[in-house]
Amino acid sequence: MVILKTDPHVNYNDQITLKNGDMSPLQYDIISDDIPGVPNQDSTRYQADFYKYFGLDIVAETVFDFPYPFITEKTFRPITSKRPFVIVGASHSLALLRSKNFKTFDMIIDESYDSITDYSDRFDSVTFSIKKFVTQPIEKIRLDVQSVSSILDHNFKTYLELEDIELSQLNL
Amino acid sequence: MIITKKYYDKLASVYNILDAIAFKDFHNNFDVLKDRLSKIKQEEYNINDKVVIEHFDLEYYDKKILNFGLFIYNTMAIIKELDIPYFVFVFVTNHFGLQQQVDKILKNHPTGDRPKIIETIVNNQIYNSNLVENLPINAQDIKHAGLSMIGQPRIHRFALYNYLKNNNLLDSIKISIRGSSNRYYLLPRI
Repeated sequence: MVILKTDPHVNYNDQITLKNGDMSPLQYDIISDDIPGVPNQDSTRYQADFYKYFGLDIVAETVFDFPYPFITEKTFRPITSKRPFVIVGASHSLALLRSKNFKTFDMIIDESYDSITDYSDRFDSVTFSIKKFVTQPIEKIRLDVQSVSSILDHNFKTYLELEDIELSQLNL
Repeated sequence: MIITKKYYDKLASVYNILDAIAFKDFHNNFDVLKDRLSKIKQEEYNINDKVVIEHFDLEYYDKKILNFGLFIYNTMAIIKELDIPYFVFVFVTNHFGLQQQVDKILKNHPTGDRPKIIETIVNNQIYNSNLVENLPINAQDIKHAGLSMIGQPRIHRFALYNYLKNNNLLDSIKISIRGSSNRYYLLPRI
């Protein structure tokens, strides 16, 4: 075994080519008026009060074409803020959450994207799910969110207990 | 330390921890890791002597080059070069598949000498149950169908933004995204 040397500036994982996606880079920052332009600090990193004005969080996770599910604070934020979410990220990320006692939202959102391992097909699937949900009338979205309130509460409680759940599963 | 205090205390209650090293301490500079590990090299190890390696975030995968992570491969190569048994090591990782990768890397190594792999989604960088409060769910507060805190520039995030824009969804989904002129776009990423 020898140490493999590479240029650190090519060591990143998101060099993807989508069959149907437009990957043109955005040159400038955009922040919608309805989102407070606050830096990512403790008060918003883990939980954001303004989530109450939105029906669905579209989590753009750190990685997309990745060999394993990968969860960060971006996914935890809708959980602690009690909103349903989809994950634009690695496949089986929802399955990983379910393995940790979280529940997901297949009664109101098509979550079939999560098991699609081809990243380009998964992108098509997750964007289809997003479009299907957000193009509903706002009153229907309110009803959908209300209908999963017990799951939102369950997930918040699971988040609080998550460290203890994992430690209890440790086999040292 | 990236692992939480509770995690560390749990490990310390079972193991004699010789050192705890985070990947971020030697990002892509494996000479630093080699130097650090050479300092804990011993002639013999008790079964409970452990070096904890925090393998969070930093890893590079390229299916065209390797079928495992570059950084975990290099770490295994250094351990072998220093002639330290693999069982001395505990990897705590947020890569849910590290065990399979290690098994591939060590496929010709005796199966009785393997590092311990702990896969977790809890760490100090992304989890803090003390900083959240139990908010009420009031669906009548909802004004917009969705939001996406897209964040730092990455190709799949640009693709998401472009999809929302090209499908006229930005009226119902509010977003926050950094452009490619942002300095983070120029840095190596996970």
